[in-house]
Amino acid sequence: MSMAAVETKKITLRTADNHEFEVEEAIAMEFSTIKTFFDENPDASEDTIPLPNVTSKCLSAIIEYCKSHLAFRARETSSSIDEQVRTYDEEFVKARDNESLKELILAANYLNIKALLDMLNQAVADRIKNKSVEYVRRFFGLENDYTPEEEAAIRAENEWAFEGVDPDDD
Amino acid sequence: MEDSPINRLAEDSLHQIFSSLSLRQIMTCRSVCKLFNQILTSPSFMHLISTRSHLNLLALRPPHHHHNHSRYEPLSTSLHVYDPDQNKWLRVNLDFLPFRSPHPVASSLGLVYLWADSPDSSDSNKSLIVCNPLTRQYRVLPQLGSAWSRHGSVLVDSRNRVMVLTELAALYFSFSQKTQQWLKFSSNLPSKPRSPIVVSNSVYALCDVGSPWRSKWKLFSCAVNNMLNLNLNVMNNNWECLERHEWGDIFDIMKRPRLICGNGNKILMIGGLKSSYSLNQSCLTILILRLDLETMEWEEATRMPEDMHQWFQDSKFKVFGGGDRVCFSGKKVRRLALWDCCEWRWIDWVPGNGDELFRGFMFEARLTLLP
Repeated sequence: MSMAAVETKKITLRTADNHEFEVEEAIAMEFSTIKTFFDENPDASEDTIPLPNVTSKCLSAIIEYCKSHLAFRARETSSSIDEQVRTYDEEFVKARDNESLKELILAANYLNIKALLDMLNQAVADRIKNKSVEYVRRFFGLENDYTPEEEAAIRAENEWAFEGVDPDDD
Repeated sequence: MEDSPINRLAEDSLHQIFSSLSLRQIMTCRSVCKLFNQILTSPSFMHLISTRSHLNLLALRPPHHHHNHSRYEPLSTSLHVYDPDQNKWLRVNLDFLPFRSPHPVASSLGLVYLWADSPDSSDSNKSLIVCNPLTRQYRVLPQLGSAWSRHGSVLVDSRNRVMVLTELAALYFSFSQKTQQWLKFSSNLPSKPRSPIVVSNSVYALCDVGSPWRSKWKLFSCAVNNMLNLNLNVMNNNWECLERHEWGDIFDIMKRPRLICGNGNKILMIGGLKSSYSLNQSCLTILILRLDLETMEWEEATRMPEDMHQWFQDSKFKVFGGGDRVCFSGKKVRRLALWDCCEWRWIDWVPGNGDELFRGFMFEARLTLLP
């Protein structure tokens, strides 16, 4: 007679680039999109969930994030835990370039992970804070679709906001 | 451009990102591209930030000249404001107003009120315009005779109720009342109200109850609600004189006192500190007193430093501001003196030719919608 080991339930996710990820149920439930899907389809837990809008690079980062935050939450709340969470979040964001940050936002939005999304949105705000209009364009990968006249008009309308702001050199 | 991930970024994400940026940056990013202009001017975004981001500025009110508009044309299509936090002068564009030489007089919660010639009317009528220079929306209030714009003081409370006060009568207008018309009330003040202000939905003013050769100032107040006496046959505003025995002769030590809104439920009274009770003595300094409307006690807030005061000594000066900021404009001083949150300093680069006496008002730049 052997004792059956308690297995943690795993959910399989397939990314846009056809990688399959096995994640613990607890982590998958952090993705509100998936949680809602399972609430409505309780029998689907054995199936592989396709995530056509998420790359494997993004998903692995997001899984790491959710895993770490779940672990933080399992511990007793204290100011040192809060400090550790803050440090973790800072490190999570720091190394990523602007493109990855944007991709992560899109993925977190698609998977509906509120805490991660809030944190990433704030990180983007911090990166573009007080930067020039041109910098913001480049950050978001946008073309200036104003004609010179239209742009001059809109700057004139809000001239007080532009006064004293120097374009930066980068 | 279609492939850019930004197009797939939920509008909500962009709203959240931009709502934590400064008002200045929100305005400049409208020129990033047309999509951003759309996103940053959408009603839901405006609503999100209308209570969050704002700038505390001091707006100038150019000298009042009815007869010759053209002399002040260059100043008239902009509102000149000073940002005390950045020590910078800014021009806020008013060219969206289709009026000749609009004259800004007051502001409340991001909305600016200006006098302008009534559209489709002769020169003798004026209208008060309410606008938000940042959203470029405006609305014209029912027209009034030009005497109101010449002699009346415009006051606006935190519920966007507008009043025009003169010695004998007061006009009242509320955007939320059924009839969108000015209501007129006779005033029971003993003399012309001096520097009326609105604090916590009551109007305060100084009146001179003395004789022609010796002023005697007293503080009067009237709750805005009480202007609308329920008995419509007796439309008097009920001004009462505020005095306390403990105040002593506090008004007598001040030369030409005036009032400014303080922070919260407080009033500032500013005037020259007389060196003696004799007439026409020069003042020792300019004194700012603070009245706590809850305890009804006066305290000294500050005195103008001597090196500043000598510029204002014995000449007429104007005072404006609010909260922790009081600004002084003197004839030929060419600079403004500012008491800014407990510090005194000069403001340079005042627009205009330097000889004018400026009045002004607090302007909280924010994206509030019109009432």
